[in-house]
Amino acid sequence: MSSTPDCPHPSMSQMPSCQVVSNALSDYLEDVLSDGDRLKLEDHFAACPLCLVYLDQFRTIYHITGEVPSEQLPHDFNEVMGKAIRLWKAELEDQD
Amino acid sequence: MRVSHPKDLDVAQRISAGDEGAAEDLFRNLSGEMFGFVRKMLGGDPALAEDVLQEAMVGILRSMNKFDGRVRLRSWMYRILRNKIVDAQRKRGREPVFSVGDPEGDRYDAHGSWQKGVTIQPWNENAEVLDVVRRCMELLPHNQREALHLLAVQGIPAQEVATILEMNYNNLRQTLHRGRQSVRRCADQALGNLPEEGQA
Ligand SMILES: [Zn+2]
Repeated sequence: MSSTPDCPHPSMSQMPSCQVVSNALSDYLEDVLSDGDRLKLEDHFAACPLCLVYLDQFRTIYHITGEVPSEQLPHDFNEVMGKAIRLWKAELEDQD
Repeated sequence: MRVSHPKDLDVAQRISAGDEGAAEDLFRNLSGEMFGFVRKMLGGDPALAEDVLQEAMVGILRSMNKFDGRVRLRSWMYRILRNKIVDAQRKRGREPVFSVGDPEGDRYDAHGSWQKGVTIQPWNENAEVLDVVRRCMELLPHNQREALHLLAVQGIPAQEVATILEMNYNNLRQTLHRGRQSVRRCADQALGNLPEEGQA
C-alpha cells in the first residue's frame, strides 16, 4: 500500500486520488464543480504538495492556451482577398 | 426558425446580394485571427496557409446565401475554414493524429496517486513559459490543438466550438482538458523539472 509519501492515500481517506484531481482541474478552474467536489479537491491540495504545484502549472497553461492567436496578415493579403472576391463575383455574374 | 444573430444575418444577406464592400469589411476584421488559426494548424508553410485562407474565403462567399443566423457568422465561417484545413492536410498526405488518453496515465500508481519518484516542482519564474507553451501546442495531437486554438478565438463560445468540430460538448471539454494536460507535461519537460522517467 505504499504511495508517494507526501500525498494522502485515497483508500485511507475520503479524498479523490491525484489522478482524479488532475482530471478535474479544468472543471475546477471554470468553477463548474459542485461545492462538495470543490471542497474535496481543496482538501486534497492542502494535503498533497505535488498536486498543488500541478494546479499552479495547469492554471498557467490554462490561461496561456486560451489567448487569442494573433498573426500578422501576409503582406499580400489584399491580393489574396481581392482574388477570392473576384472569383466569387465572376461566378455570381455567370449565374445572372 | 429562430434567428439568434440578426445582425450577422443582415451582413450575410448583403454579401449574398453581391455587396463587395460588405465582404471586404467582414474579411478585414476576421482575417488576422483566421490566418493565425490556419498557420497554427498547418505548420510553418505561409504560402500554403495563404492558399487555404483564399479557398476558404471563396467557399464562404459562395455559400453565404445558406447562412441562416442560428449560429454566429464567425462560427459558421470557422466551420468552412476548418474543413478547408482538413482537406489541405489530407492532400499533403498527413492524416491528422487523434488522441484521447490520459497524458499522465503512466505516472500514477494503481491507486491513482503519483508514483514514487515523480516530482513536480514550480517553474522558474524567469523561464520563457510563453514560448515553451507555443512550441508544446504545435506538438499536440490534431484534435486537441484544433480545439484549443478554436476556443482561443474571440467570440466563439465553447458550445459553438463543439458544433464547428462536430463533437458533443462533453467530448470537447474532455479534449480541451487532455490538451492542457499534455501541454503542461511537455512544458514541464522543456523547463527541466522532470527527472528521467522510470527511476522509481
Ligand atoms: Zn495529489
